Amino acid sequence: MEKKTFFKTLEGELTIAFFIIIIAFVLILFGLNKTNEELCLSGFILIVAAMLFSPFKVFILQRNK
Amino acid sequence: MNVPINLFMWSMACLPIVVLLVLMIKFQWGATEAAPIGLLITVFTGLAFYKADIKLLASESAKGIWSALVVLIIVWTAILLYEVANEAKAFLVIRNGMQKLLPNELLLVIAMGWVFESFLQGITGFGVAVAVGAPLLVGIGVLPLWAVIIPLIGHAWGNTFGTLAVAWDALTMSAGLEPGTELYLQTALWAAIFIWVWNVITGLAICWFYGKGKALKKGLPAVLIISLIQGGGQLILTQINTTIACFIPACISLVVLFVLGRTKIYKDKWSVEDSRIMNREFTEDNSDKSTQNMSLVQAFFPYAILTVITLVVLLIAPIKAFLGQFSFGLAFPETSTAYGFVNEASASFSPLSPFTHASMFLLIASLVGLLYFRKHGWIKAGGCRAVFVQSIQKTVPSGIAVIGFIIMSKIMGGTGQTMVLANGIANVLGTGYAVLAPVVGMLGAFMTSSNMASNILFGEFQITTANLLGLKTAAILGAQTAGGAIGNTICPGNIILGTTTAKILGKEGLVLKKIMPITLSAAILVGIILFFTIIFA
Repeated sequence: MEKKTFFKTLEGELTIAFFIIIIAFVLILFGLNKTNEELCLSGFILIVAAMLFSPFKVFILQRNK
Repeated sequence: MNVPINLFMWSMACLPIVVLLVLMIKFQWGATEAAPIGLLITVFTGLAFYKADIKLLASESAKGIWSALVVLIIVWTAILLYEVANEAKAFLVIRNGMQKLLPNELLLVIAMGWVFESFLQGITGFGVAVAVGAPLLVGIGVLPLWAVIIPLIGHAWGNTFGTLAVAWDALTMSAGLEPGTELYLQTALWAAIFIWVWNVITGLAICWFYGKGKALKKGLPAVLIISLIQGGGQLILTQINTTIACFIPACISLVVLFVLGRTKIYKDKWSVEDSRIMNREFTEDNSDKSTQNMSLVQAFFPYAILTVITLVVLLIAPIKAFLGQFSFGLAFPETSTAYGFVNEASASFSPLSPFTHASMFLLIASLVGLLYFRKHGWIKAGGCRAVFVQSIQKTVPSGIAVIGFIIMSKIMGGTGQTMVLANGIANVLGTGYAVLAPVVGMLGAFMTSSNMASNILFGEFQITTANLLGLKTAAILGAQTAGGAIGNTICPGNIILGTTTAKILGKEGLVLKKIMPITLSAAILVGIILFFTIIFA
């Protein structure tokens, strides 16, 4: 049986999502510090997108397979 | 501030919580899937009905991530400690050793699911008792689902005065109680009385889970004695020193438990063969010769280190003051909604003191434990790397849900939804609000995954409501923190910790479904006691 690498498992993909959230966190902090709303918006959208990955994968991608 | 408090706005504030509960309990969604949906609804209601802007949402999200990271480093180090013991197969030794010392299986479950968790909660907190307790129970043959449920219930009584009373201190700070004043002592007394009620329920519930009426009858003397020490001891100590009000009774109960194991009632082998919580095959099939030369004391070595470090750092004032001076937090600007609901600027939001933080104690205990087990040959070459890799792999996925829940609670608080939610309840119920005062505390703990955060969130609201309605302030505040402690049993963050270390991640909905009736009943029971106290006072 072919062994999946960690980043191709759900746990691995969630780990990537976690790192995206950390990047978004830094973006927001930078945006708040520089009073730059675009950076805050980008960071916020990244957080929401990364958070929604798991329900999207479990209830849409895997169901359609 | 002009946030309209009406049924529509209240319903909108309620919506994310209702959806979250329905998804997790009715549809059995895991927390990692349900939390983002709750968050999405909170963002929508915040933008559309509470007139928040992107800057506010982004700022509250960043605060949420920071708070979550502070929690997650505890999660990681707690899991690391577990992995160290697991890699050395210390749980097998603990299981076998405890079975020898406590031949009565019910007493063994009480020991590993309630008394040991209480001890851990007394010093660590932040879900460590659940994260560590769940695999310990799996190690003595409890089914993983119950191995999560029992420590969730078992540790909860220690949430207010445990972790060296951090949640209590948060309540006194939030409600403006001066230490030593009459109101301070009365509030502590009420809190301890309500928590004692829950403590008795805890013991009885664990017996019931294990073997219904038969176990209840057998376990009743032990439950009453342990509860007298824990609940009664805490009650007395709250009037002397709140910092050690949970830890000291928890330690005494641990010692007394082993004495109980030698009494006539519990000294012989006893079990309920068809117990629904036990995995009989597991306990019979798991024996490992590689740990034959490890004693019970040696198996507990990392936990002993954890206890010593925690006590030395937190109870010796000069050491605590020296290490506590190193702290850092993040600066956040003032934000407000179009309704004028203001979140004040903070120069150092939720500062982290790394050297007095529970995660540091856990990390040191893990590393010392790792070296100790490695030196004795119980962790083989390559085992050290596996310990670190597995701990990170287990922490990060559950981190998504923890981040989601905390951001959700921050946005609800920052947009005024939490305030509307609480005010709506108080306005409608009047004096009858007393029944729901602990439920508000419970709700806060559910939303924030913390008794401390619940007290920060609702402490001021509870004291304002009590004054508005002419209710007994000390009793209402006591019910708030007791509700928060009870609510820790249903904290999604804590449940995830348990399901992660018990290796049943994704079963959070099932755990919540089993626990919710007992938690809600207990909170309402506390509310009813409070209501009649107020009526007849």
